[in-house]
Formats: sequence, C-alpha cells, structure tokens
Amino acid sequence: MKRMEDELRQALQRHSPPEGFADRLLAKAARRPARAEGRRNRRAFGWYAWRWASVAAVVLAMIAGVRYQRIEAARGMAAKEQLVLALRITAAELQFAQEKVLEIGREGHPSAVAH
Amino acid sequence: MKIVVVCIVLALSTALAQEIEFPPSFQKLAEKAVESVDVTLDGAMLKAASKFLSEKKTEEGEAKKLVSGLKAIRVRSFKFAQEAEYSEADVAPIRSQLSSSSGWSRVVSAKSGRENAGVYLRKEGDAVVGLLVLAMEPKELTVVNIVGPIDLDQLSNLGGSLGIPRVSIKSKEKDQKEKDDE
Repeated sequence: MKRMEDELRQALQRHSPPEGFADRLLAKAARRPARAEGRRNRRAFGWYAWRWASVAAVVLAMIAGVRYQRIEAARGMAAKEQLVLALRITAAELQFAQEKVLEIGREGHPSAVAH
Repeated sequence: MKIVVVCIVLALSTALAQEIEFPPSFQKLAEKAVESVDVTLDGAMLKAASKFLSEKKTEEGEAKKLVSGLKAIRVRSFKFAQEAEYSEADVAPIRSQLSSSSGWSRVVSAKSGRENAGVYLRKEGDAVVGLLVLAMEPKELTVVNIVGPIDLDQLSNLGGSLGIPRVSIKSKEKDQKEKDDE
C-alpha cells in the first residue's frame, strides 16, 4: 500500500518544463496568426479567382452565343438564297417543259406526252 | 423488334427511292460548263432557310409553306459554251432510276429536235412525294430533284414572286373545279 502511495506521489509531483519551452511556445503562438492570415488571403484570392473565372465564363458564353447566332444567321440566309435559286430553276424548267409540250402540241408532233 | 427494324428499313428505302443519285459524270460536266449550279439543300438546311422566310410577306409565306414538309431539294444545272458537250449517256443513270418499279411515273415528256424535257413524279396514294425535272437543251442540262410531299398548286402559286417565273400547273382538283365553274 505504501509503495503504491509513493508511486502516485511521484507521478503527480510537479515538474518544471524543459529549458526554452516558454520561448518556443511564444514563438509558435506568434507564427500562428500569420499562417491563419495567409490561409485567409489564399481563401479570399480563391474566391476572387472563382468569381472572375465565372464572370469570364459568362462573357465568353455570351460572345460564343452571339457568334453562333451570327453564323447560324449567315447559314440561314445562304440557305434561303439557295432555296430561292432552286425554286427559280425548278419553275423555269417546269415552264420549259410546259412550253415544249404546248409547242409540240401546236405543231401536232407526236413526241409530246402529258399524262 | 423485327417489325420495328422492317419499318425502319422500309422508311429508309422509301426516302432513298425519292432521292435520285446524280451520276459521277456530272462532276466532269461541271468542269466543262461555263456556268454551273449545284444546290443541295437537305432537311436541316431547308429548315434553316425557312426560318428566314417571313410569313408576313405573302410570297415568302407561300415558299415557307411549300418547303415546310420537304426533305431535300437538289439542283444540278450546266450551261456550256458549245453544243454537244454532254450526251444522253450522262443522263442515262438518272433515267434508269426513274423506272415505274421504283415508284416514279413520267407525267410530261416532250422532245423536239435536240430539246428534251421530262417531268417525273413519285406518288404515295394521291400525294406527290417526289418530283424530278430533267431539261435538256443543246447547250444546257438541268436536273431538279425535290424530295418530300410537294403541293404542285403551292409551287405554281410561287410564280411571279421571289424572281420565280410563272408556271401554270393544274392539279386534278383544280382542273375539276374549273370544269365545274364552267
């Protein structure tokens, strides 16, 4: 029992910290705010970077959208012109066929067939 | 499943049958020609074009209506400096695709001298789903192929506007109506 008491007393005895402990602790404490500030700065920079990146993405998307619309409009206009040309040629050739039939019909030529 | 596959194959073959394949010799004719027109408008291009046709303008509205159901418009036209720059052999591959077994029927055929014009239709029931115009002149050759449901009345209504010449195409219904009016 006595031995156990001695051991307990020894374990709970006050020990003085190793030499330079207080200085090291103070130095560490002094470093910590700088690191936290650095982290805060990095976080803020990240936030700004993301904000600018998203703004840039929106602007780029708008530019791309306008460009796409312009390209589509140019393609549509070119297609319209081609369509009108195609319809013009179709009508002209149908007219040509019709004229041939009428012409041959007037001449009483046998090689005109209109079904 | 088999029925779906058969339906798809049938739909594809019908669409392909309406579309005439232009012979490779046309490439050479384009090189020889002094003027050549090569228009190929597929469904997407026709859709894009019709977006720019205003419904408010009567003539463009008519064209928009005509184009709305079409699947393709293809035109090849060659103008030569001299006669006999092309031969019947150049158009023979087209004629061979226009057999009645492939669903095409000749509605107009006119030949005088070296001038030859033919109009072919492909019908499904009473509806015209394909049109081919083949016009041969001594110095000119033109082939027009329209794929999809075509209203011939609408086509004739377009005449006189958008620089399109007037053509009087009479459909059976229109013909009958005129007879009834008389």
